[in-house]
Amino acid sequence: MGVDSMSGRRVGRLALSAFTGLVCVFLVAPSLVVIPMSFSSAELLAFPPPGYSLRWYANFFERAEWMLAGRNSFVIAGLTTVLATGLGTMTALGLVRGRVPFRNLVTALFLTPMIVPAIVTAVAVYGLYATLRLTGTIPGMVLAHTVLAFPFVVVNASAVLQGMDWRVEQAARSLGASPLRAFWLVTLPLIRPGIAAGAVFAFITSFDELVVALFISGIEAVTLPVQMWSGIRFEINPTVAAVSTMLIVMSGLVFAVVGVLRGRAGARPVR
Amino acid sequence: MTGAEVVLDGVTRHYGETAVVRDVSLTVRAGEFLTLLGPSGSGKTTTLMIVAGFVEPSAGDVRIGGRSVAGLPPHRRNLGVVFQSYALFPHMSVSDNVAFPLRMRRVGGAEARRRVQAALEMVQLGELGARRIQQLSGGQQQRVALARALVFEPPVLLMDEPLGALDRKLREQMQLEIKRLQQLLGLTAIYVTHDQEEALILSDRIAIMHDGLIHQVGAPAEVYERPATAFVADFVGESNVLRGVVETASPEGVTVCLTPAGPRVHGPAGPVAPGQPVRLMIRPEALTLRDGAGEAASNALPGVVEEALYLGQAIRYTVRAGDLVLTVREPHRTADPTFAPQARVTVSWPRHATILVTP
Repeated sequence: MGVDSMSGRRVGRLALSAFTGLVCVFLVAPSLVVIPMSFSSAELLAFPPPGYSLRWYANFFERAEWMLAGRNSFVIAGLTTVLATGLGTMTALGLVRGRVPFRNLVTALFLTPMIVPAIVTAVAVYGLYATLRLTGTIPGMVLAHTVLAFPFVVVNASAVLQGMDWRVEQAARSLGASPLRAFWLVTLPLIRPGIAAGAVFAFITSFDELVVALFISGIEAVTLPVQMWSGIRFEINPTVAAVSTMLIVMSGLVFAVVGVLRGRAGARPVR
Repeated sequence: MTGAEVVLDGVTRHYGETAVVRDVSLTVRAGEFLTLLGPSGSGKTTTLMIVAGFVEPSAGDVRIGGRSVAGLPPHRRNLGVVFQSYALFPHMSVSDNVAFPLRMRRVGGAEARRRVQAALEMVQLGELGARRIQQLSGGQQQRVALARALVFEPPVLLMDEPLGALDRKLREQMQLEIKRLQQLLGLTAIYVTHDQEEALILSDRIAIMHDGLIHQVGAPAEVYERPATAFVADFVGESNVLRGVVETASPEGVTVCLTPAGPRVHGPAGPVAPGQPVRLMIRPEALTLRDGAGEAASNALPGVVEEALYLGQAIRYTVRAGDLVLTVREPHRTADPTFAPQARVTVSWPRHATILVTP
């Protein structure tokens, strides 16, 4: 009886492991397929690739439109991160610490860009930008992406702010620090992990964004996702797979960095 | 470094409709250790935070060293504050924590290092400057908080239940330490606690607060032996509170007829008139038990032991005397005879141990 139930449990555990493995494969395999495809020597996207080469990586770095899109993406995502992180942190501070009437309603309003379908935001921004002549400009893209990225910073910064003991800041004040110095020297270092996580999400949000960019990037402010979109429609060659592979590697690195940051924050908990 | 006088003058604080601190006037003398004692919600911490500058009073004024601090932000008040949670900076080392107030005052280099080391040695942490805060025990963190609040030589030290998180042994040790430092440095100290024993041990004077009001200010012996109100009598130490009506009042003393039981009880003279309802308070340790009926002392009530609790150095009896239930605390040595439940006894106490309190 005891032996039976033990072996029964072992079978159950094996079945669970197998099922979990299958789910993981189902989730990850479509993304990973592009990696061998990107090293293909063929002219068209094909799996499995008939032979291997680095020609599509070379193609990416040699073609002006790909390089421009890559540079645009980094510039736009970088500026978006700075803007969204600054605004989002200040908003979170106000929401958590300030005396805000209808706090829940105001918070919900700030988070709407996360909930509203991207296409709705895209259409709205498109209409507005037409009159403001911001379509196809880097500042236009940065502003639109800031709206989308901002809620991620608010959510992450609010979480750390809520977990913070405000008496630590009061202690700094009582010891002679002005409100600004107390914030800079004590509060900011303590909430930094949350802000950093928010910044990473802001960067990824902008870097990945396609729908709004399709509407407003025009010709000048084309980003990598937009370029990939047109690439797959007009030249079905493995350059897209090469770019995808590089993006997967980059995202993996970014999240690894976040993991390390979080781990370090966990090692010295904020009392 | 010497202490500064702290004066609260008609300080009131409202939150919406509710008054948390009501018309508190109090003078803390230079170099004095004053404790604000009261249950939670009595307004003691709010009063302390008003002195520290974190809470604005709705009315009234605070003067430190003779100067009004109205409108002065916390960082310009130059007060040492120790918080209940210690509020240390977890991202800084022990020395950096202690050096923080010096850094804010632009004291740096060798001078800052010397003063940080001196402050750490003062709280017996001279060796631990390089440690991280997380590597310290609760008691050590408390000492760092104290060193940080003292290193810039403030004239006044404010403490908000600083020992609340420590276990009993450590707490008693830290009480003596705090008292020693305060006397050594000649600081004015305002200490907030709900622990009456702690207040009695530490304080030069105690201010007992309840519902935002100060009920009594006095030396520990004064508030313990002559509580001004029934609340003080009840909150500071154990007490038996009896109700009665004054029968006679003369300069020699008063006689009170207890309601509803009817026995007469004698007490010292007080500002009362015949016919006036009063409350009497008698400390459990002022009562003595004798065997059987015995002859009448100044105050003696026959009764029956209901319960006897062994407390080590004392025995705590519950005695029923007619309609009254009295708590008696008798000192106990190993060979002393004790009374068992159901024993018939006489509860007696001297006239001067009866205390009249206003309701």
